[in-house]
Formats: sequence, C-alpha cells, structure tokens
Amino acid sequence: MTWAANVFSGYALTAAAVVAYATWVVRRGRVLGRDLGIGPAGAGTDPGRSHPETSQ
Amino acid sequence: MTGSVATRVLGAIGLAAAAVMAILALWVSPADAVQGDAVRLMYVHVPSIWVAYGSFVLTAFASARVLWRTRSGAGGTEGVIADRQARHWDRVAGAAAELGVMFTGLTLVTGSLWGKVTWGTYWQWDARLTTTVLLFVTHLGYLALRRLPAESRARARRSAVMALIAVVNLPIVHYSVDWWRTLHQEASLEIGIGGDRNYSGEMYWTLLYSWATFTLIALWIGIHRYRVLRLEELAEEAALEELLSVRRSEPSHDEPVTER
Repeated sequence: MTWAANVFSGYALTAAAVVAYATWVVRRGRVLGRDLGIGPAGAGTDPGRSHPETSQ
Repeated sequence: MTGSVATRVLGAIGLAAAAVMAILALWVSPADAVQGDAVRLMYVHVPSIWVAYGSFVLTAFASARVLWRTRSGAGGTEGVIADRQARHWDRVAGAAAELGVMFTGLTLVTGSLWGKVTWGTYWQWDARLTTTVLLFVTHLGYLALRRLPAESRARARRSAVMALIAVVNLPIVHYSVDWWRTLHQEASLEIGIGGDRNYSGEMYWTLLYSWATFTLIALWIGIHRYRVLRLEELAEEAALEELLSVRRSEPSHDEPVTER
C-alpha cells in the first residue's frame, strides 16, 4: 500500500465514523423527542426549553 | 430535537473548521523529512487521542461527582437535588465515555495505517499500543456496564466505580513511551513551557489547529448525546408509568375468593 492510500483511508474512516455517530445521535434524539411528544420532529424544537434538565 | 441555536452555531463552526483542517493537513503542511507524507495521518491520529484523553478525564471527574452525590441517602429536598445532580453527572460521564471510545478506536485505526507506511507493519504489541488497546477495551466495558438493566442509582454508582478504575490506565498510556522501550515514537508535544516538540512551524500549528477542530466537533456531538441520554431517561420513566397505569387498571388478583 502506498502512503497516499493509507492517508486517504485514515481521513475517510475518521470522517465516516464521526458522521455516522453524529447522525445516529441526532436521529435518536428526533425519534425519542417525537415519541415523547416534545415538539414536532425535525422542527428544531429545543428540548432544553421543554425540559430544563436537557439543556444543562 | 436535541438542537438549539448554540449547537447549530457550534456545528457550523465545527464543519467549517474541518474543511479548513483538511486543506491545511493535506496540502499546506509540508511532508516530514523522515516520515514523508505519512505525517499527514498524524493530524487525525494525535488529535483523536488527545480528545479521547480529555473525554476519559471528564468521564472520571463526572463519575467521582456521581459517587459524591449518591454517597448518602438524604431525603427531602436535599435528596431530590442530590439525585438530580447525580443524574446530570452520570449523563456527562456516559456521553464523554462514548466519545472517548470512538476517538480511541480512530486513534488505533489511523495509527495502524501510519504504522504500515513507516514501520512496515499494521500492529506491534509494544507498550504504547497495548496500553491503548486496554484503555479502549476497559471503557468499552464501562459502556456495556451502563447498559445492564438495573435501578438507575445502582447502575450509575457501579458504572462510576468502573470509570474510575479504567482511567488509572490513562497516565500509563501517556508515559508508556518514556517508561519502556517502544517502537512507538515519543510524545508529539511535551506539556509545559520549554518542552520538546517533535513538530515545529506549519506542522506544529496544523497539529494544534486539528486538535481544536476535533475538540469542537466532539463538543457538538457530546452536547447532543447528553440531551439524548436525558430523553432516554424520560422515555424510560414514561414507559414505566404506562406499565404501572395498566397494572393499576387491571382487576386485583389479591381479592379473597368467595366460596360458592
């Protein structure tokens, strides 16, 4: 393997892992918020306003 | 759902910073005299472990707070406040540990890719690599412990103890390259004024900039994860309340059976 392939793989894997985890976190928040009836999903409702403890 | 104006601004800054970081790390920063272009992997490898270190220290600090706030079974208003604070620190610990595990995993992967180019092998069981794997596995165990079904207070306390045990390995990881003869190079930057640097000039500033970028992104994810953990608690409480109301509405089986 050349250095270019390894460097590219390293950056691609890092970006993929961070984006995948961030996406999972945000989606889980939307699903839970919708199930709990805390504002419409995806409407940008701040749970911190509805539930003070979530904005600590 | 877990977003706010502050997190949106933070996310936008983090995204822009990541784009600039890629340009700095892949084009602007020069190749190293010894490592060649493989040094570009250091701009993700080193910040990853720095963020992981910070996350695990935060996990340990928050865990100590959990143990402190749950040390006595105080009742009344004081007990309620202590319980709320313990839950808050437990969420901080959980969110930080997940980030730490992810970034340690990325450190191991990018490190092995770098090792293949410079050492000729993906893996070597030297002190730094082995202790880093141990750090990864013990915190993975901590996350598994958090998922075991138990009463929330007991779960928080036993997880906190595990976090405090796991963090003992952190200084061992950091100083392993000084304490033992390892294939892994020495620390990239020494802490304190006048410390040695393995990087200088554009490489040094690119490394620091990458660390700041990773920290911003980790902070953004961490805030969201904290809020999701709170939502998970609310969902758990709602589910329990629903089960209780169903149970209450059922006819009691404890009523005495009348003889015919």
